[in-house]
Amino acid sequence: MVLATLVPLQAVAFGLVALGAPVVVLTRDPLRQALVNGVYGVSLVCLFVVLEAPDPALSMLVVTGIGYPLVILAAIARVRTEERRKERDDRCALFAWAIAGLPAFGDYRGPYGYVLNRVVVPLRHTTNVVMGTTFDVRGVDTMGEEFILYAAIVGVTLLLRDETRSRQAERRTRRLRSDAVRLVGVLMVGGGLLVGVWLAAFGYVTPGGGFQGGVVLAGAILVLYLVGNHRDYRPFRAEHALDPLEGLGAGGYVIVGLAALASGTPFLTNLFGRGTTGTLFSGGSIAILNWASAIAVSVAMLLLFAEFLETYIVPLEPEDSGS
Amino acid sequence: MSYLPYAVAAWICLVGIAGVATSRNLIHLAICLTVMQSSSYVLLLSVGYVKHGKAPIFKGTKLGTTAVDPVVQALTLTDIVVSVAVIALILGLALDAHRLSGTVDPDRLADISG
Repeated sequence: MVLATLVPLQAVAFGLVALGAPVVVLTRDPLRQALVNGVYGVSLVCLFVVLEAPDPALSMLVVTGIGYPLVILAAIARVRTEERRKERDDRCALFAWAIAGLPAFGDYRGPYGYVLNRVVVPLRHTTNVVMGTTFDVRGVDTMGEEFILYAAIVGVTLLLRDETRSRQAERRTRRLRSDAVRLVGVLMVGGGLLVGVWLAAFGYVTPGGGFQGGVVLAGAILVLYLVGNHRDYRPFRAEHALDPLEGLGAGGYVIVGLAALASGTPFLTNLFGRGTTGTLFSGGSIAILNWASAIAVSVAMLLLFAEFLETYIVPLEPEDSGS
Repeated sequence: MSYLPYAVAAWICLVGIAGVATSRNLIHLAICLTVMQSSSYVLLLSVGYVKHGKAPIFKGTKLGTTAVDPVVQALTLTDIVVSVAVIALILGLALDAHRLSGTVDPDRLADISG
């Protein structure tokens, strides 16, 4: 890679992101804003790539492509309102002063990054240091984040499920007639599942991991809903199947941690053999934690999609459509 | 030039706050919140960037090659995925507010008591 071209490329990416943010905020119609937000998300992906951060870039990509649009569009479909404009007043002096105290861009000083890049591969045999950090060095933090995810899903379910279930009898069923769309869809489901499993499985070897793979897996199953009819998607939507799986994903993480405690070492100590560097058989507990996260994330996304699609599919009541 | 990334992060954050503060629609507000949150990603990844550093993935790269900070990347990547669920929760609350009061304008919501 030509190093000289890196800096201008980064400057362009930063510029795009800086321009994109106000465009998203100033787009007042939520429907258009959702689309603009998608473009802004892609500009963030580009920025992350030129900042040598492929894992966050993948994460952003799957979230921009699958996560945000669905929940936002479903919410918009449910609620439509009129908008007014207002003047804004930004004061940046304090921020400028705070920025001046930071080390110059590229002049990284903190020891942790250098230390981890040196020790994670020899100690854990995972070639993706980001994943080694996520599931081992800061494994307890990741557990906390997984429970934020879990708590948010519980919140969404509590808010939306009762309302939709009471009106399930009114649900419309929809059938896609075009064979071509169905064929492409089926191929996409297969390809998506394959990519998701690959991203999740090889996460600790190459860019990827349970978090990104989980979202892709959920997206692939969602395509099944979009191209198939309601019934095809149903097994994946059934709460009695998804809820225990979500518990398994979130709980599995804790169980791995407790297993370490039971064997007389601190919580979440990496228990299993380190394996061969750069292969699937590396990282010890990281592999299990990675899969637990993949299950937790994909089921969480499926539950989210299910709840929001339910609110969208249920026909609007007269008083809702008027506001 | 070397402070541009931080200025961009601060700018995105300010723009997001302005959007949240002036929003007339709870869905619009939620999207502005994602913009605000993206400033933290930009800041984290900028702080962890090492000049001429490579991605911290050593598959096919010799160990000891200068690489950027993996800690901030780990923080960012989980944060991005978790943010979807959090935004979904906010949208769920917005839908609930709409069901109860018939409006998604936060200013008009304040007029409705109980």
